Amino acid sequence: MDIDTRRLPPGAPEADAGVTGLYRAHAAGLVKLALVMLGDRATAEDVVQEAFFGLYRNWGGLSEPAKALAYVRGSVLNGCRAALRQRYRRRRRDRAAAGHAPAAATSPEDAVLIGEEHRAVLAAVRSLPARQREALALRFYLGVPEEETARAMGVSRGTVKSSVSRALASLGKRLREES
Amino acid sequence: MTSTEDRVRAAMDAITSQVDTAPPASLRLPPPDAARQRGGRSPRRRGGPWLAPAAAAVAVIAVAVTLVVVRDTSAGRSVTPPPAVSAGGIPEYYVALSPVPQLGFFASAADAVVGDTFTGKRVATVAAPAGWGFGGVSAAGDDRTFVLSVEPRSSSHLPVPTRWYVLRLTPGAATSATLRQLPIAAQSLDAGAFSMAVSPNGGMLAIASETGLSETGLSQTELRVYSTATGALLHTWSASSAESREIQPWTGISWTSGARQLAFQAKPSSTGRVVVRLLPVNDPGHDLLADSRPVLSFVTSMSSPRNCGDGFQVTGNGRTVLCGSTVQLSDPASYPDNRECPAGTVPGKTAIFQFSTGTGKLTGTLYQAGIACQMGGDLELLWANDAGTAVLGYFAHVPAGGSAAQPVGRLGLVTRDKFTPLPAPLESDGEYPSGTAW
Repeated sequence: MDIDTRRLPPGAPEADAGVTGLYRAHAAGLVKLALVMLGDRATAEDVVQEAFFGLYRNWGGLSEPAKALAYVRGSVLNGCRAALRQRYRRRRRDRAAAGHAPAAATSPEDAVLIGEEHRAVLAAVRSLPARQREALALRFYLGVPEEETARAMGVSRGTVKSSVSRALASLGKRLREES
Repeated sequence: MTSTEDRVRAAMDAITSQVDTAPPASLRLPPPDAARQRGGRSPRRRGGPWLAPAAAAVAVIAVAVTLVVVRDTSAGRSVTPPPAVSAGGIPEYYVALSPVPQLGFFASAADAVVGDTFTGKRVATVAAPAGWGFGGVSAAGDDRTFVLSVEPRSSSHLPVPTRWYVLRLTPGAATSATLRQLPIAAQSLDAGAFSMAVSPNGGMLAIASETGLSETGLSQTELRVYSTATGALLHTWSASSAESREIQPWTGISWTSGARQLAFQAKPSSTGRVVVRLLPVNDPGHDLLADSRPVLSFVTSMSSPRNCGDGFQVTGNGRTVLCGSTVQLSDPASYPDNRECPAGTVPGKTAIFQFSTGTGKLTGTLYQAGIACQMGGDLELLWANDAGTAVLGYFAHVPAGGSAAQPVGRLGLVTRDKFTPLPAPLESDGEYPSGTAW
């Protein structure tokens, strides 16, 4: 669904329609993206909700409303980074509360019924540097065009390419070592 | 055998298959009044604001204690101590974290490896204090002094206590390295994003961080400068939560103008351009935006002729911004070998441009690679001399007929129109130097 490209203040009916239309068309894909990044659906949906909320809040100020999808993709990536940070901090806090004993290694995928092979691959994906992981999810899995991926990540197209390439090389090496 | 690509796709399919069968909950837009409030939150908000991935939070202890020295004498170095900086001003030594920290996941490194830039040999290995790991490293300008951030390798209460250590090299028959804790006063920063830069003479340490992260998403960007000799806090600048989204010093700060200014980047959402800013450290004032000035702005798109999308360095003399740029040919068909470019590559040109910080104008081209099939460059500027006439950089491209999945990358010394390959750092992500400082 196309969105209205005029500048609109939040709360205007057109903003409601534009953001809602964009949400219907792209929310599922963006939740997938967040799910690949985070591994847990509830948080992924939170992140996507928050990204669309931000789009709605800033609708009137978008310099190029036609690029609203790129804006919201970038917001989802930012939200994923923040969620990972919060998760990391919670994990450290929990371990501290447990008397500095190492906690059992659990992953968000533990709550989902997927096979060991997939679990190992996803663990390897999640061990990649954030930029490589994001580029991999956007380009390689979701098929987002290179230019749009670069815009969402705030990097050049060359960086997108090299990040995907490095990610695949690193994953190949790691998965071979583990098999 | 199933390819890596197939395995990754299958795993991602498995984890996302739950979304296919059940669409996400419908969007709940807030009432207009709530939406207009600055910083209004989504009803389901649980996460914090935008943060750049980085290594740790900041806290420091006061007393300097010499800790660990592990020598690696196998390198067999010259008996004559080398000059402080090698001929031509290129640093002879680097420090690489081992293993390379995965910054997105906050893992820290057990060792700091000192390597020889020109021979690639290991000079010394320094272990982190027991139970602690190295999170980042910054080099001073004397080729002897490096500052490392150190954080607990195991559990710890929040905020994560991060200490700052100085690694000093003593060249000789067997170059040794000593590690001492810096006497910088303890501080508690709750967020993990930070960047640090030790001044050229090693006398000051700048730490940029995001603080105050909470469940409500409040945050503040801070930039602090400490004396490494006394630990005294010399100056503090900050930005509010709203401004913090546009100011990104934690993505990288550097000293310039004889340690009189700090360079960092901002990315105003209103323009989509990256802005390089300079902050005078001796001036009064504590506002990161108001007290700094923009010197260069650029877009990162490969269609832009000088996009700086491959990173930038402000030179030590403060006069030049070196800009790594990969530009896709506007008319690829005009490139005779275009038909040989592997899938996923484009014919393009990679260059290092020189811009004046005084005018923001292009003043020269330090280096330009020939037109080639490439992934868009993949150029990283790792170190530059004061005048901006020599750069240590990493440059990757895909040879015609090669595979886009296997770019050829080399570390090298870039001077006017010349790229001289150097050995890959001892600890690197493939050939790419990561967690390494010169």
